[in-house]
Amino acid sequence: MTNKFSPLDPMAMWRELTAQWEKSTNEFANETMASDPFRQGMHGGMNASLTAQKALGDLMARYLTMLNLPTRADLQALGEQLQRIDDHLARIARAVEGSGAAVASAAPGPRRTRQPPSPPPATATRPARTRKPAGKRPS
Amino acid sequence: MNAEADAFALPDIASEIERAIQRNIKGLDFLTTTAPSVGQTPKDEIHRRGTLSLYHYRPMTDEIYRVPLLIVMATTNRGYILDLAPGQSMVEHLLLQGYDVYMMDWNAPRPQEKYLRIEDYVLDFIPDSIRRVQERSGEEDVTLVGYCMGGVLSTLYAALHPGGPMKNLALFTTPIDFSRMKLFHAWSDRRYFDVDRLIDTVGNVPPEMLFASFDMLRPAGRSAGMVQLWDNMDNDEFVKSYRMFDRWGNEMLPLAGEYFRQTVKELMWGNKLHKGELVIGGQKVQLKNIKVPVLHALAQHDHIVPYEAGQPLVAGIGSADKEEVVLKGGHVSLAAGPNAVRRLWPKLDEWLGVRST
Repeated sequence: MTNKFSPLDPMAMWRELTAQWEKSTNEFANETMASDPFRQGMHGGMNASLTAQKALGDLMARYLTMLNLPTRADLQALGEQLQRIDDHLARIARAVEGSGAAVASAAPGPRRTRQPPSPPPATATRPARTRKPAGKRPS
Repeated sequence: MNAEADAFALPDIASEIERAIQRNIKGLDFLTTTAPSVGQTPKDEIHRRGTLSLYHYRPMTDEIYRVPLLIVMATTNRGYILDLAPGQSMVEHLLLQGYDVYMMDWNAPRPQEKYLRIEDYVLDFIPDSIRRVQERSGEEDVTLVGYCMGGVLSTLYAALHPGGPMKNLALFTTPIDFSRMKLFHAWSDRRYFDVDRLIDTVGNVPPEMLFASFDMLRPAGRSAGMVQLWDNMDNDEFVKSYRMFDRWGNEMLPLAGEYFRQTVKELMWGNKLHKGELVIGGQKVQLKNIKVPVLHALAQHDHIVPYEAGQPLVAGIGSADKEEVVLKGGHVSLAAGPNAVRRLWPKLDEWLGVRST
């Protein structure tokens, strides 16, 4: 059996081992992560984190209200109002642009006359090749 | 060992020692320098509204094809993956081939944009952008080019607007049968995944969560990538490319809450796009309504959108002129990087050229 690693390249074997490790780890992990207990655990953890996040958010909101400071909800409401103003401005800008569109489209640019390069002449002697879609790599 | 073998081995040893030294020197460089800049192809932001930015890339040739291209980027990622660097940019390639290129790119949705739904993207952002492209180009026809979820949105638009305006539809790695996205489907199991609770708590889905989900699809990928990086540390091109892809992969966008909720419930749980039961803006989405020429490029080693998830697209549409190609590469390397330069870009140019006059 021939040795496929160059004895002079210390990285060659490491490279090969890494590739094998990556493949087998991914395969194993994918199988594990598709399992029912994993899904249950993953979402259980996420739900616990969301509950904690919500509780902390509510607590902070109460403190900020007591201190007479704006809460996150207040700032978001302000942001929404700004967004509405932004939308109004966008609509006005659109209307103004619409009236100037004819002028803009008349501005000189590259000619839109390009044609695709003509295909090379077919050689009668060479048989046509049919290309099948490549197969899927086993995961 | 004989003299001949010695003579052969000495230069090899010297070269390996040189590589090892170079790895260390360049390794220090790697740690002390910033990542290369991306998205450098000259462009103008012709419209911005909340999460949407519409860009027009400046033409690079004196004569361009009549029909402009509008790229619809995936909603989870920045559009510069298609414009990484000169020579590694699909946008630049298309400009050099004589196309007039526009891109719908996404900014992080603001907290107040958590209410955005698929309808907002399909019935507002896309038609509004098409109208702006028409105005700017002076052309009625527009070709849509969609990548991943950008492809799904483009497909929904095409199915709901059979009368156009759309000349062609080119899609990359676009899922239709969401039940075949094995791990994502398993993780969004409705028995355990309380999507309402998630969205009601966080508003927009944080990018860290999305990043972790994508990373978990190949848990060993990051570590193996770093080993590969160290191995190639003396190769400047490899390092530059690694840093650009790494930056892009880490720079995920949050997703609008309602859009995510709808994606999970309608597409992932209900698989309604595949079943023909999806309703957008009161209209049922029927793939068979798509009659324009369609190209769908899928990647052979795509771990995010496997072939089975994307295959029903071309099979289900009503176009007479339709083509599906499966090219070597993964979900990202299909569209960007050296693999894309050799495979997808020439294919796209060949397909679009004859349909863009």
